[in-house]
Amino acid sequence: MFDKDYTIKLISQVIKEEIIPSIDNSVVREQAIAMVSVLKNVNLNTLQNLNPYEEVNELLGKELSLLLEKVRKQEKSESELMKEYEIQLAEIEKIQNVKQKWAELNSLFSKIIKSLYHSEENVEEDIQECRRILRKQLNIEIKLVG
Amino acid sequence: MKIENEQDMKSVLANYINEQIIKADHIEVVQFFKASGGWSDDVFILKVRWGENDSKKEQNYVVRKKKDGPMIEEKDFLRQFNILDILSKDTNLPVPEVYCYEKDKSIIGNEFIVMEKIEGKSYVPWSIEGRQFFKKASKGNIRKEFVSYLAALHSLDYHSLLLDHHLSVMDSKIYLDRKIEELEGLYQQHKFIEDPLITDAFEWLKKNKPEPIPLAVIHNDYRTGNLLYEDDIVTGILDWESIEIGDPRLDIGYVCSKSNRMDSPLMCYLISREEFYSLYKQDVNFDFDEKDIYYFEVYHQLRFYMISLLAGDIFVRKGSTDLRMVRQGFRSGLMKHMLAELLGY
Repeated sequence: MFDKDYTIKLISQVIKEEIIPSIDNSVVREQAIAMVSVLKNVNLNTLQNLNPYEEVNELLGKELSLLLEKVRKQEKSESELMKEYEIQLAEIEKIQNVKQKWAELNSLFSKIIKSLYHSEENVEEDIQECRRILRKQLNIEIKLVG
Repeated sequence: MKIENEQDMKSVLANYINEQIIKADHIEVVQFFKASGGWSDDVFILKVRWGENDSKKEQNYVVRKKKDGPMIEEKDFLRQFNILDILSKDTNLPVPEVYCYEKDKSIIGNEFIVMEKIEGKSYVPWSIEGRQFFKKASKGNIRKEFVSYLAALHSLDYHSLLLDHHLSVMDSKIYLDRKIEELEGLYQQHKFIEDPLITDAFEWLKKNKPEPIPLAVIHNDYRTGNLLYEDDIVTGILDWESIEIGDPRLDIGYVCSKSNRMDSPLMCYLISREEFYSLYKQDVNFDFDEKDIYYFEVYHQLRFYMISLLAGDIFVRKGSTDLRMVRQGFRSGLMKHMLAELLGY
């Protein structure tokens, strides 16, 4: 989700500039000043949690490959397009940066879904297959929601 | 006069209200406060007292000051004033009467409207106090009024009321396409990545549009948290900023949306779905089925997601220091989760 460093720095800024000046109680004021310092240290001692992104990348890499192969083999009108997406997927798999790869995989998955909806054939089953993958993806991403 | 603090604001507003509305020799401000800051406008409440024909008179006023901010699309305050004027004078809906619209931004820093303060209390439906209130209200008269006012709004003849002078009228056949385009425009503007779940939701909405029905005046934010209550009656309907001539099923879907009831079995924490439909259908001259309303619930859940996305974008790209934006932005995952559940996966 949001960048940890950016978020914690912004919260500290709000505490310093907007909250502390309006605190009249000296004990609460001291606590708020200490909070800024604690947040700074928490930021320095922790890393952005990229695990869910890595899990999603692994999931989508595997599942999209199977999905594309399955739809291509059905020899429907969108088979050619699926071949093209398979090539794109292979290229995305080479990306090393976790978040960039995550964004590209999501983008490709979106294109696949859009293509299926716009197909003139009955692709309801394929859309349900996409939703099965989306459910798995969501189960991973929901770990990032507090 | 330059406004530097609340005292200045109180004094300027009191003078303005006296000059424009009361026109007394002298007025006294009995009470003045700024209502808790919402997402949109700043609201000030004043209670003033003055002498008239040897007797003392007292009146409450609400001053709604336009707030320019990143969450708000460009608002036309004069248009809002004109619409509220019609609704309060020419209909039986409990809408606050409006007294003046002021376009001069130099008076308090932006345009504002002075309006009636309707007696009554509003409740945040998911708060402890709100839950207690609506639990009791669900057994009384309020639930019926909640429905009958919505049906009455949808039954207004907007043409004879001249509301179509202030609200655009569109062909019902293209109305839903425009609503989806509007939402897609927001998504393209504020998205961080191309999200497959959101793509699925948009494509589903495009593919499953219900048959159009005649458009009506709709509130677009009609929920129990935007009404005022006293004893066992609804005393006011607020937050008319999003009023339009649109598909009335949009308001019905909003009342039924998961985000407006969360874990409660009652729509808007107030009324069962069956009773809501049944009471509403008695008062309107069109029909709908469960499938139609489901469609609009999906639309609203996608819209709720868009609000979180927009808030996140304002925080990340525009550097807002409003922590409510950050909190709302973090909620986009939850909004997506609710959307997926609604779509059946």
